[in-house]
Parts: sequence; C-alpha cells; structure tokens
Amino acid sequence: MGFEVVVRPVVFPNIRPAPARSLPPQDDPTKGFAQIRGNGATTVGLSYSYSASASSSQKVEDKRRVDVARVYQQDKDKTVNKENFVDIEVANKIWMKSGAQKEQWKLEPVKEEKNIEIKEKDKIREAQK
Amino acid sequence: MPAGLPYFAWIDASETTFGSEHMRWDESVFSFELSQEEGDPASLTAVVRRPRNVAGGAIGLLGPGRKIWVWFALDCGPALVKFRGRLVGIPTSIFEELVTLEFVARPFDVVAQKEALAATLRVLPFYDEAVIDKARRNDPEVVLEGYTKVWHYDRETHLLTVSDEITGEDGLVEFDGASEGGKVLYDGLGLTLTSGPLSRVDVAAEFTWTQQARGTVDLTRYLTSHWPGAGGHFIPGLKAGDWPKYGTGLGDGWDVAGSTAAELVDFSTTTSSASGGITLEDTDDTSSSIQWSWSRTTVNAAGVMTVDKTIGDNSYSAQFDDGGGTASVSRSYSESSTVLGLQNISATLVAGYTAERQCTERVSLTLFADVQPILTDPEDGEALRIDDIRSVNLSDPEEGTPIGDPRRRSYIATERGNQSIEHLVALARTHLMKRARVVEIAFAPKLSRMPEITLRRSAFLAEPRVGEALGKIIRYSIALDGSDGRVDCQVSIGCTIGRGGVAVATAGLPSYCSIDYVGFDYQQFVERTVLINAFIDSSVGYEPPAANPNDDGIDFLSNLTGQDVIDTDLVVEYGPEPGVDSSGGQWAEYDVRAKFKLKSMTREFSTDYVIQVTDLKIPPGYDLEAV
Repeated sequence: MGFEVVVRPVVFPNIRPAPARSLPPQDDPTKGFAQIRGNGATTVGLSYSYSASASSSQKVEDKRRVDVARVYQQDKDKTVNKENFVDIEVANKIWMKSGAQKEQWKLEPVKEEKNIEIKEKDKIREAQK
Repeated sequence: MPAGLPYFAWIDASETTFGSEHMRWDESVFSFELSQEEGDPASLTAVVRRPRNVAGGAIGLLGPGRKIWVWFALDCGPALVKFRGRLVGIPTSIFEELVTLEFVARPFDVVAQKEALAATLRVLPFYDEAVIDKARRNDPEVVLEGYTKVWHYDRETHLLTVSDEITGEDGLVEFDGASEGGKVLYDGLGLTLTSGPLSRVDVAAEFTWTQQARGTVDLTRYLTSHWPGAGGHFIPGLKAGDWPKYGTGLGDGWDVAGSTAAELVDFSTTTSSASGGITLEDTDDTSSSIQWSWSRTTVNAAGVMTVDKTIGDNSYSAQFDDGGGTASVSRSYSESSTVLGLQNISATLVAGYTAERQCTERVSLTLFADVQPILTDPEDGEALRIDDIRSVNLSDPEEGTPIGDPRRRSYIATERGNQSIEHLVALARTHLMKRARVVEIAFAPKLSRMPEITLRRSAFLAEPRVGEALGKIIRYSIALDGSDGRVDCQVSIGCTIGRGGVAVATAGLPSYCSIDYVGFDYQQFVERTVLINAFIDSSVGYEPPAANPNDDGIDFLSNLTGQDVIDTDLVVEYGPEPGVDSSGGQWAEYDVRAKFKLKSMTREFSTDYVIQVTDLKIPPGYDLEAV
C-alpha cells in the first residue's frame, strides 16, 4: 500500500453544466395503475299476457198465437171415440226475439179432421219469463 | 557584422517584416535579455543609454508621438535572433544614465487571434461541447483542456498558435555533443525534477438526457389474451360504456389514444302478439263466438336468467242471460318479469405515451501512466481525480441533440458517446502527459544555435553528465551583460519519463453475430480495444462499451407491443370492492375491476459504465533509471 495522494484539479472551475436534478426514489409500485371498472350485468323487463272470451246467443220466444184443437181417439178402423180426447195448443204464429231483433215465424195452422176439432183460434200466449 | 552585435530600431506598428533597414542602432544598447517561457509571449529587457536630443537634453520615452514598437535583432553568426515588440509599462531608472526598457512580443489582437484559433480547436475528442457549460463555450482558454498544448506567441510575427507540450511540431534541434555546434557549454547545465508524475487519473462523468418519445402501443392483444375468460377475442362482463375512453389516463405518461368497444350480447327485446276469433252462426240465427289474444316480449340474448316475475292479472268471468239468450265467459292473464344477463364487449385499446424520462449514464475510467518511478515505492505518487464532469441535456435541441435520437436508451454506446469517452480519456491523458514531464534540463548552447530555438520545437541533448535527453523546449533566453560583454544563452527542455511504446488495438470478439452479417459498425464486441485516432502517438486505447442500460427495457426505437410496456400484469377481480360503494348496485357481485400497470414514462434511470482503458504510453524523454 503506497502513500498515494489524491488531488483534484483546480483549473477551470465552473465550466461544467449545472447538475441534473437528483434522481428520485425508485418507481412506487403501488401507483400508476391503469384501472378498468365496470359491471356487465344487464336487466331486461319482459311481459306476457293473454286473454280469451267466448259468447253465445240464441233466439227466444216472446209470444205465440195458438189454435186450441181437440184430438179424439181414432182407432185403426177409423172410428172416432169422442170420449177420449186431448186438447192441444197448436201454434200458428210465433214471435221470436234476440235482443232488440224480433221476427215472426208463421206456421201452418192446424186443420180440422175427423178426429180433430178446433176449439179456439188465434189465442195469444206470452212466453214465460 | 560580428556575432553578438545587437540591433535596435524603433518602428511603426505597421512594420511587421524585418528588413535590412532595421539593422540599425536607434538606441545604444548596454545590455539586454531576450527570453520566452512556454505559454507566454517573448519579452525583451533592454538597458539603453538614456536618449537625448541634439542639445543634450533628455528625451521622454513615453512622450506623445514617440514610437513604442521596436525591432530588436541579435547577430548570432549564421542568422539573426529577431524580436518585435512594443514598449510596455514605464521605463525604470528613467533619471539614470542607463534606462531599462521592457518590451513584449504580444500581439495587440491577441483576443481576436485566440478566439479564431480556439474556434479551430473545438473538435472532438479534445473538446466536447456536451460537457461545457454554454456560458463558457466562448472562452478560448477552455478549449485547451483536452489538449497537451499551450498557446505559443511567435516573437517576430506575433502569430498565435498552439504548441504541444510533449513534442515540438516544428522539428527537433539536436545537440549531439559531438559536432562543434552540437556541444553545449559546461556551465549552465542543470537537471531538476519538477515534481513526481501523476500515477493515474480517475475520471468520473455524468451524461444525462431526457429520453423523449411519443407514440402508441396497441394493448388489445395483450388484454384479450390475459383477461380471464376472454378467450382471446372479447372482454367478458363489461359494457361498452365501461371501456376506457379517448384521453383517459392509463398511468405515468400514458393515456388512451384510441379505443373501441362494441357490445356483443343483444339485450334488445322483441314483442310478439296475436289475436283471433271464431264466430259460429247457426241456421236458426243463433251464434257462438270465441275471441282470443296474446302478447309476449322476449329478449334476444341467450343465457339470461329470470330474477323476478310478477303476475299482474289472472282472472276468469262467466255471464249467462237466460232471458236474453246470451252467455259469455272470459279469461285473462298477464305477467311481467325481469331477466339478467352479462354483457361482453369486443374492444380495442390503443395506449398513447409521452415519455419524458431522465436518463443518466455515469461513466468512470482510470488511466494509468506508464512512467518510470521516481519514488521509492512505485505506488507512492499522486492521483488526480476529475469527478465534476457533467453533460448538458444531451437531448436538448438547443444543444444540438448530441444523442442524436432522443428516444435512445444509451448515449455512451453511440458513436457520439464514444467520442465523449475519448474526450474523458483526452482529459486524463493531458494531465498525465503534462505531469510526466518531470525532468527539466537546462543547458547553455552556443550562440550560433540560438536562431534555431523556438518554443515550437523539441531538443535532443547528448551530454556526458546527463546522458541523452529529449524534450520540448520550454524556455530560452539570450542575455548580454554590458559590463563584461558576455552573451549568455540558456535553453530548458522538459523531458517526459515514460517508457515509450504504443498501445495496441485488438479486434475483440464479436458478441452479437458474425461481423460479415451485420457489418463492423453495428457489431458488438468484447475485449476490443480501439485506439483514439486523434492521438497520433497511439498512446492510449479503450474498450468501447456495449449499451447495457439499467432501465425498464423499453426500446422506443422499436415497434412496441403490449408485452413490451407492461410493468405489472393484468389482474381482474370480481365482486364488490371492500369498503367502496359499488357501482353495480344490487348486482355488485358482477362488479369487475381490472388493473394493470404500464411502464412509467416519467421515471429516471441511471446506469454505470466503467470504461477499460490501456495504460498511457508516454514518450521516454529521459531515462531516470540510467542516471
């Protein structure tokens, strides 16, 4: 080991550029992050509906005009037994309605026969409510 | 005319050429001394008889109108030693019979000459503007820092030049000790050691620049290939609005230069509906009818899940009107639901960077002088430390951008950087060379040889008492003592005590690939030694360093990819972030947080380089070991 002397030259002071700024600490590993945040959840409102209805309508009798006929028993040999009979009402006209709509049905009137006797004609019967 | 006769002629400043008309005696010179030292102009001290007018009265030497320039010449036999100078200062002893006049051969335009000459000397590697403060670059004295040269003033022409301190550029004056003119006088011989030589010079320098770059890096491939579940094609779990927009910051010096995001899942809805009915009309004019309708809204995306369902209506009704002949039934149902699906996006992200990174390369080298030891222990000695060298900002356009391309990672490994290394070597070499001129020998040549002596020459001396010496002439003087008429001539030479030899260049080993493949300039070598061509003496060589920047690896000269600029890899987390209000509300479980870190564009880096240099070969001006 020698007796070395280290010296610095004092020749041209101040000819050097100003020193660069001192180095900062190492990069902070906790900073400088790029972040992408979001939420891809997407809600959608949906709907469903249905409806159905059914209806029916039919004409109903409003009144009728009837002939009252007496029908006697008639045997096979064409003899008429006046003792045994039934009275029936045979409509010759019927008034029908469906809502406000009205119509009339005209029917063939009953005819007198050997065993059929017309007792009353054109009697009006109101439909039962 | 006999040798030893001096001439003294007062002249005008314009008489710059010596002619026979100047061989006159305007003053009676009693004695004189003409001398010049290295780095200084020649001076003449003349003792003359006090000038008088015709009437015998004294003449004021400094009176107005008197000439102050002089041509002085001394006849040395074969030639004249000439001196042109101007009177300086107040003559001394002006009331005595003998007056002492001082003249100096200093050019009146010395400043202009120095500046002009300095301009030609501002060349690498001797002068490196990059390590000189801008305010000091016009200082001509700074120029010589890397040269082993000093200013030289010609004593006749006043031409300012520089002269090497080791080897005279105007040739050699030989005093061989054998020929008649080669002998020196016995008296006047002396040898002194001026100081110990420098054993080494340690140089440390800092080269700094601001690494500047602007550009873009496409991060798309990186993100899609690193995003969990992305499959390399899309980003899952995000909406288009979540994707970073143009201008969004992405880290130190980074922002979004371009981005696109398109949602891949179609959450639009389609509403379908239908209705119909059937009416049956009977022949009796009765009728029956059925009416129905439905409506459904569906989402076009697949894979959704129902998270909520509400039934709004679910009813039946039936009506019968016996009297009116009508009957009806009805059924209705409605529900609303909420479905949930996750959006995916096809996205691109191009990051833009603006780099402003302070880079420093700390270069150190130690140059050892290969000199003869003059102390007991060769390790004893003096080392010089030059550690204040700093560069300007090498990427500053106002400084000429010495680094060339501000994007570079290394300066010192560039061709220009190598020149800066060579400048450091030049500085060290200058100090070592100058301090190696340890031996100073003074001798008295014969007058006839004095016209050959200038401070731009070297001299070789062979004299039995000192042996052989070769050195640069650093001083001379010619003096006449009027009291005895003797003319004394003195010459001093400074001799280096090196061992001689030259540094040897070595080709080194190519470390990159074959030289034939990339050429010599692009190749990198190990153990390669190149000589500094500017030093014609081949005194020193060095190993050019390969660039080995201690930075983050970004090479702005290449096409950067995402992988190149990623500092911390992408991490994607899901669910609410603890302690932070979730943006996802009730669906916080689908929160996505992705983060990654790009390499900082504002960091600072520092790299150390230790330059290997050969020992400095110094001419063997004098062999101390032989004394």
